[in-house]
Formats: sequence, structure tokens, C-alpha cells
Amino acid sequence: MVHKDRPVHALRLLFYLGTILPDILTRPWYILIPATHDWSFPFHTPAGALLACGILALLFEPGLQKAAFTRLSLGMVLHFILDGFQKQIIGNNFWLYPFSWKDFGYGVLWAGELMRYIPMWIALVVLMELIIAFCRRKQLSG
Amino acid sequence: MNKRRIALLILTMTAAGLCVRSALRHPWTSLNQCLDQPERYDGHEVTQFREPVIGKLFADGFELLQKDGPPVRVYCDTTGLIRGEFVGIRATFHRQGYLDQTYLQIATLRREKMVISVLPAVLVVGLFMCRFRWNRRKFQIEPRDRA
Repeated sequence: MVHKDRPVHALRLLFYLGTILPDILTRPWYILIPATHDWSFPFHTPAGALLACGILALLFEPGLQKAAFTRLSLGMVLHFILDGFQKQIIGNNFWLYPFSWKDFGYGVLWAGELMRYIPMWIALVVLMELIIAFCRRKQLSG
Repeated sequence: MNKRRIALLILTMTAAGLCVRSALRHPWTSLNQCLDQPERYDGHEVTQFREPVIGKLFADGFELLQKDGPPVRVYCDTTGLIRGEFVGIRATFHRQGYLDQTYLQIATLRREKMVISVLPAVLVVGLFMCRFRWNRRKFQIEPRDRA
């Protein structure tokens, strides 16, 4: 069933989910059970994360599958672009896995140095949500 | 079996294949691999550790603690090292069971980063569960506000 009247931005939650998907599919497991690192690692590559997006999207009702996949994938892409800024002792940006283990990270800042930008990111997201809420209210009342 | 379930099966099996490939063939050498086969990995560079933390400090190095496994002696310059901090490290393994550091970076604010990372994940997953529900009969995720 297609939700023709569902505003496009109502599914942005899936975009946010996409941005954290590579991490939630890998980090909790190898932090809690370190032996799972080598097994779960592919989900922190574009190929593995894209498969996860596909699997998750297919679990949605048919009318939402395409939109879900698009938003999850876009979020995932943003995750990898931003991860590239983080310096690593060994590579963590294996964008061409399983075809190559070449690291594509640009390594600008260490994780600890990135922390100072978190308030800015939070403020940006909150501002964006406020703008969306304002536009929706205007649209509904107009 | 309908097309959707076949597609799900194919994607899941492909993902499983990627996981197996990564587990069997990866470019990093872990400390646990070296400790299991010290003769084989003598002289190898170790780049994979399990949540490494600085343990006891000595004049010429420190004891590396991992989430699982025994502590391992690391020889390095200890300037700036603080006991209890997470550390990123590359080191050469020796069959006698010690490491010579080749590169070391204190993972500052790692614990804080973990906590901060958990909060948005919990928020997004929580909102997702509030917004969508699992329809067991139809085997699909659908919006909760469906009439």
C-alpha cells in the first residue's frame, strides 16, 4: 500500500538510522564480545552496510521499501564520508571491500579531537528539525 | 516462497559471505593471533587489539591490557602515557611474548565518545520503534499510525 499523502520528510528518521547503521551493526558486538570483530567488520564497509540497508528496506511494507532503502543508503553514505575525517591507527575506510583493502580515509582529526564539534552537529540537527517542524505547521495551517 | 523472501535470503547469504571472508582473510594481524602462534608471528607487525588499555607503567614501557587475554609487555617511550587510558598502537611482536611499539596514540576521550555515541543511537532506535511496528502476520515493518 503506497502512502501517497505521506510527506517525504516523515521518513527522515530512516536517514538518521542509516547514519548510525554501520556503527550499531558492528561496535556493540565487538566491544562486548571482542572475538566478533573480524566477523562483523564488513558491516562497517559500504558493501556490507548497503546489504544491511537492502535487507532492512525489504522488511518494510512494499509501498515504503524504495523510500526506506534510499534514505537508509543516503544516511549510510554520509556516515562513511564523515568517518573518513577520523584518523586511524590502521585503516577503517575500506570502501571497496571485498574487492580491495585499500583505505580511503583522509585522516584529518583523531576521534578525541572530533569531540569538540559534537555540540555544533547537535545544534545543526536540532535547527534542521525545528525548521522542518515550522514548515510542516505552516503547510498544515495554510 | 515469494520474491521478497527470496531477495531477503540472497542478501542475507551475501552478507554472511562477506562476514566469513573478513573473518578468514583480512590484512591485520591481531595480538591474540600472535599469542596463539608466537613462532609463526615472530617479527610481525600487530595492528589489531581488543580494547587496549595502558596497565602498569615501567621506565621502558608498559603492560598492555586487553578486554580478553593476558597482559602483554610493550617496550616504548612512556612520555605522556597515563595508566587506564585507551591506546591505539602498532607494534612488532616477538615470540618471547612482548611487543616493540612502532606507533602509539592515546585514545583521548574514548570513554566519553562511547557514552555520547550511545545517546543518539538509543534515541534514533527508540524513535524508530515508536514510529514503526513489526507486523508478524505479514512479516513486514509498517508505520504505527496506519489506520
